[in-house]
Amino acid sequence: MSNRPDTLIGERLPRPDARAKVTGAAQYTDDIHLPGMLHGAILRSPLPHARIKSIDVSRAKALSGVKCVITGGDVPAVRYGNWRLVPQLQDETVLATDVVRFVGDEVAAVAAVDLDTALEALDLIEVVYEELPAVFDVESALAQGAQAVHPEHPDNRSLERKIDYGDLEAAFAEADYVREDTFTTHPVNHAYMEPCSSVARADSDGRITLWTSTQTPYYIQCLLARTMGLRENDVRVIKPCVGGGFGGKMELRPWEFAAAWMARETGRPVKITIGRDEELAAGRRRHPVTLTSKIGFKRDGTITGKHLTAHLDGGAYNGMGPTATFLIGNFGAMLYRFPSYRYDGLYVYTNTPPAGAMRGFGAPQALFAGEMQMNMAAAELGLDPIELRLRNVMQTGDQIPGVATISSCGFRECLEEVRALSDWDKRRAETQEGRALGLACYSFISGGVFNWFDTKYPFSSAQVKVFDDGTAQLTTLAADIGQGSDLILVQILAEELGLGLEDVRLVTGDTAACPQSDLGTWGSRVTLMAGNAVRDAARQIKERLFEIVSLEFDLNVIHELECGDGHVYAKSKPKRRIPLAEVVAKVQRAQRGRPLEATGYYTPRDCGLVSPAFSFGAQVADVEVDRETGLSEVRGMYTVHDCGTELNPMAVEGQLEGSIQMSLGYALSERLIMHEGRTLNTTLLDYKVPVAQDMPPSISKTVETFEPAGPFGAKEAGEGLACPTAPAIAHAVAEATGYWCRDLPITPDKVLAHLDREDPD
Amino acid sequence: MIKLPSLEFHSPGTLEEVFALLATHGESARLMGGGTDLLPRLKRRNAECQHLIGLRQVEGLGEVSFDEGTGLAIGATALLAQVAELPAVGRHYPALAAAIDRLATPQVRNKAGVAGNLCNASPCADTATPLLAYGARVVIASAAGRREVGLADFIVGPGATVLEPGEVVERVLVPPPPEGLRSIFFKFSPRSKVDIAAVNLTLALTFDGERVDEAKLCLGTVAPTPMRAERAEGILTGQALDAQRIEEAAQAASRECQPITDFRASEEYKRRLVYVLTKRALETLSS
Repeated sequence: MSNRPDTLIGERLPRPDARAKVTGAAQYTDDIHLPGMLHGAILRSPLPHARIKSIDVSRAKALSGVKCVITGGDVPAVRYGNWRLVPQLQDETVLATDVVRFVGDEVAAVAAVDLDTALEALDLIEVVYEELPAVFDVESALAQGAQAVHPEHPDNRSLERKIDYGDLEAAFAEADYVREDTFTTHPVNHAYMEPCSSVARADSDGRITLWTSTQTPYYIQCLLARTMGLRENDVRVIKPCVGGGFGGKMELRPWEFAAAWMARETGRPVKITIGRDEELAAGRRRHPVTLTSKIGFKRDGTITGKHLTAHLDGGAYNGMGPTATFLIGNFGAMLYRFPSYRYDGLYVYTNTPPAGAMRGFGAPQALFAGEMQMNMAAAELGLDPIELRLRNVMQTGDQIPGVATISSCGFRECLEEVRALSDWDKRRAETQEGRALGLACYSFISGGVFNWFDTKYPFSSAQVKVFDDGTAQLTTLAADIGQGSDLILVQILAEELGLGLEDVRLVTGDTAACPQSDLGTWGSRVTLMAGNAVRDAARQIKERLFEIVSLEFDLNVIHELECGDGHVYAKSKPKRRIPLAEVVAKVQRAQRGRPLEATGYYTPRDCGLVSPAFSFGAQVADVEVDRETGLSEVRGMYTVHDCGTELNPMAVEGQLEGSIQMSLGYALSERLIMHEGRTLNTTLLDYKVPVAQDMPPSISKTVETFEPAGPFGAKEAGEGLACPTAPAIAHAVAEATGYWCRDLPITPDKVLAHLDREDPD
Repeated sequence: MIKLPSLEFHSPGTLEEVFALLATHGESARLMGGGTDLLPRLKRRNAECQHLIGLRQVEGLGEVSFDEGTGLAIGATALLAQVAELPAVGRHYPALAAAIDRLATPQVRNKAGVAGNLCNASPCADTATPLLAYGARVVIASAAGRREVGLADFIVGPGATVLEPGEVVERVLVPPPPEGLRSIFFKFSPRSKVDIAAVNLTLALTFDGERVDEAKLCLGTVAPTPMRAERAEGILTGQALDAQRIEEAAQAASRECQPITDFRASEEYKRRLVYVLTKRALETLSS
């Protein structure tokens, strides 16, 4: 507390959990060992589409050490999913009942005294399948007479979403230049460091405690209760340390249910940890999307209108797909002023592992198409890609009709700054064999507004207690899954109360201990939404503190009071100050012992359909292409972004580093290789995540804006950054070789095939 | 989730004990060095055994030594890192040092050995092409005695060697390099640094003045076994390395290899890589 700077906002603060994580002391779910604990495993479908004729578990049950075997027939056939608002979109059961729809679909679960026995028991379960025809991609799923993945949707169309404003026909008629391009993106895995894991315990009264690796403890609590036929309050979900989620851990998953159900059946705790092979073969993945974009320009580069069509390959179930279908349409309308815009989104079922949310959630696909097309148009129009964008940039106050209002926007400044930072004009004027710069931009949300989960609670809540020793406790269900939000929330409270970080104890990750509720970590919502809830609680606390101090010094009512340096004081008479501990003691005395505590809430209201705030950024990739092998290597990244107020620059930099690493993989080396619904590369040997040595040098800068909706002016930082990297690299490759990638990833053989066509010798 | 199948692990202390275990358990036993390849394959059920005989505790197999007169001797359980650290390896066998440097990660190199890399007989084994180029021989021991086999004859197919039941690789011998030998190792993989090879290659040349006296071009990943590109070698032998000769040799190598399309790369692309890497290796060694 003594060395605390005047303000913590903008300080470079290292993560307090870093040491525990680096030394292995941090406890993740798989580190939990309870007395008498059983180990579970999941039997998965080997076929992409089949009817289950029979399941015989007798041999598995007879194996010594096996304590429980369950199949779809043993548990309630409840359909669940995150889209509680539209129950017909909830299309999944925890274990397959009569039909399996993808390779990896969960069929049965086993709990045994150890993992070896559980795995051996899986081999003893005899399932007789009747194989059904299957569809493996959007095109064949939409073909006339195609096999239906779900009988309720004979045409495999699960959901459509339209946005339409302005007069698009007129826009294309008045355009001097119209182009239409089709892009495809590929499925990739989150490759979080910690594979999923769950430990469940059933109390003697039938209540369930579940420790699980999740981004969304509240969703898990609600959906686990529903699938088990319990009341929500009978389920307690605890989130230990989580080693990354990136969107892949925000739904109830069958092993969470299976662990809990088998714990109740056996009366013993059950742990199920998912292997990397299962994660890669059957885990959620980023939606493969086919995007067709038609865009019109005036001769000077002014955009007249855009029509975006997106077909999402959703795999076998909806999961979070409806949200992705909405968001691609929203992201397609961002960055530039589109006087007219139409979006036709379609979510298609196929017999492949279901896709789900993944960092950027629709934006990496929408912006790959949108930004590639802007660069192609710039080349054809003979305009500099930055100039073309500057003629069309969104600005503060812009509206997307009926969808969003842009309350702060530093996009123009980002473009101008990245131009200087990357030495853009000079580098583009020089020509260097096989090496060039590429540009792409992004805009992203700071949390979602649309209540598809249909919660009846606030979106974020935070309880603050202040003690008479001058310390505070913050209790919130906001979920730190490695992104560092715990520190940010503590920082916000410490700033409000004038305390040091070490004066704030954080209690989090437990649905039974934290105030109802918090929607968890997704859509870059935690800093803005939970941060605002913390501030709301702090304001209530401060009101009480100020009353006492005002009384103590008999202050005129016009005086403003503040918390700082462990004291509460009158702003214009700073000598009139009392240590916080004393003020708290006085409050308690005044309240005849009642502790000083308050709960703050935040729910976004009256801010459109998408988000309260939008971040922006521009990124330049410096890429060298080996024209003989086709290999593209990134030599440098230049990023300028607008995340509002940088609360903790060190945390923002960490997000940038991570997003570059993740997006390098998306652009160049990562892909789930599919053959007839089966994932072929299910090890990290062949699923090629870039390693530390692949990281290029990176220079970044932020532009200052102040977001009125965010705490201290802050907004999203880190998720949107995952979007421009792939199109920026693809643009650089195009500038270096003439190869315009329309189907990610940019692999050496594609580059080489293009160069061969250009120069057959 | 994948796990090792249940099996019995043996850790003999002498070669005699290894022979005895092999005699007792026959085909149900597998020998293991570092296990970095075998254990994952057992987990994925791509290999099977009931008895795993770990060689790490066997006396006298862990040494690496170099002698000007007899060359390099690599014990069967010597670690890759141990081999790379020996200054003589960097000096006399630079392609081997480079291959080890590009093989997986430091963690793996501190666990895996050269002999194990060869016994796996993977077409893409990184140490195979340099050892082939340096004329390595494999010393095989059994209860009946010892025999030596040239590396080219040791690996006979993907995952297959000439080892007979009851036999163990005792060490790998690499003769001292001929005077003036120049050698180089190249590896190409789509993730630039830590990765399995899409194609790897070693070129070793001795010169008689301007002309190539002897050429060895060894290719990995592009045939059922690591292979010598003999036609390309023939084009180079006795010739000066001008642009045309280099081009012809690179094209010959690209034609004579026999890659298959798999999900790591297509046949066509692997041939192209062989061409490009051969050309670059020749250009590097001729300059």
